[in-house]
Amino acid sequence: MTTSTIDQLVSDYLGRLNQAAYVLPADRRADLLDEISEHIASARAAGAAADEAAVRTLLDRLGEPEEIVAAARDDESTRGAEPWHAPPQPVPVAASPTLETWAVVMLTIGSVIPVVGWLVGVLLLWMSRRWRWPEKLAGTLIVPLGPGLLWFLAVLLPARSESCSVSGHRDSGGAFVQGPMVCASSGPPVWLGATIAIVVVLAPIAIGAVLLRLAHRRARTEPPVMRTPVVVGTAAGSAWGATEVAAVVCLGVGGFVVPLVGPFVGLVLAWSSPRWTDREKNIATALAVVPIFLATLVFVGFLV
Amino acid sequence: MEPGRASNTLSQLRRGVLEFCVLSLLGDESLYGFDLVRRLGDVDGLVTSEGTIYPLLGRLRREGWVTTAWVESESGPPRRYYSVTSQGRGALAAFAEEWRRFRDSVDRLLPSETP
Repeated sequence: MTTSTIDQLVSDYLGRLNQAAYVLPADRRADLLDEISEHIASARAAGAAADEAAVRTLLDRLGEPEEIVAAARDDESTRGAEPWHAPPQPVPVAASPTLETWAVVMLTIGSVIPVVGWLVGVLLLWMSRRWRWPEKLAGTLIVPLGPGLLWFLAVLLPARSESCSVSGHRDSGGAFVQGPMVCASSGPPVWLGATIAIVVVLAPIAIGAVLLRLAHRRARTEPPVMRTPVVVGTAAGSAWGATEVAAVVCLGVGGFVVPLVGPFVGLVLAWSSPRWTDREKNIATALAVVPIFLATLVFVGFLV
Repeated sequence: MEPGRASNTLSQLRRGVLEFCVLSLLGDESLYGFDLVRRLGDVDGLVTSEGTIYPLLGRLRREGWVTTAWVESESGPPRRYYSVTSQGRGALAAFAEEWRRFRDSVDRLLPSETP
């Protein structure tokens, strides 16, 4: 056994590899030659190539140079272009009455946005699958316009006012004799106004609380929703499809283009989105309040 | 079935699975090329040509599933140590789960071993 025979075997092998690897891009070819050379050097350093037979075994185990280059080309063309990814598996998510919560919020607090806020609430109310129609009807008809009705009552009803008049007559001498002062008050009495205000505010809150409890109870009995987690950065998992873009456009500027109807369409689109999670739908709805409010102001200003 | 067909199928399967075997071996410790390749080569029926593992390692590195670092060696030239990245771990975990399902399903369908 001689070192030169071993060296000869190794250099022959690397020469063949070098030759075969010309089909590879230059950097891949250099990498491959480096790594195979290193492999052989490591084997020799570890004593795994002490004699000619051991070196032949080592090179046999490495395989034919053409075979290695073919594997490199395969990696280059087919596998390299398409790294393996497990498809995202749907995970169970407990059903939560998010839509219903928003409906109740809009029917009560949201109704301070005149007309529109309450109408949004009604829309969400009727979109829900967790309420039956009598419940929806109650939610709609118990104080139409919700607490926001107070705006209209304040404008439409005459303010309570008091007027007094003094009557009198002239006596035989022509002097004015003042009669008793008569006072009369007009408009609804105070107790009535206060009662109406309390009912208008409290009744929607009360029915809202009942509806919310029903929704929560029914959501708990539902099976968990299977939801596929969104993989950031992959086309399939994108949170933006035509529905979502349309929803944002309608929510953002729809109110200025088609008053009242525009934001409605936006909300329907947002809540029917297959891509958005409940959290994203919540964010969209919350953010939409500002443009809806502004659009309503513009609309009302235009009417007046 | 002709034997060539079976071996062709198996070699394709082997090639597809090999990269996850690499990730799995690197899961416990960083290994240098020769050591890693030898361990894979010693597994029965997994690798026919050990040299083909290097192009695979190169691809795993480009995909960011594996990183390399040079480490001085007492008994020779510096060695390139391979270790798995967190991305590689994620890919391995996902594959391992799918693989078990796949393996069990195929095992159920294939005729059981004859004694």
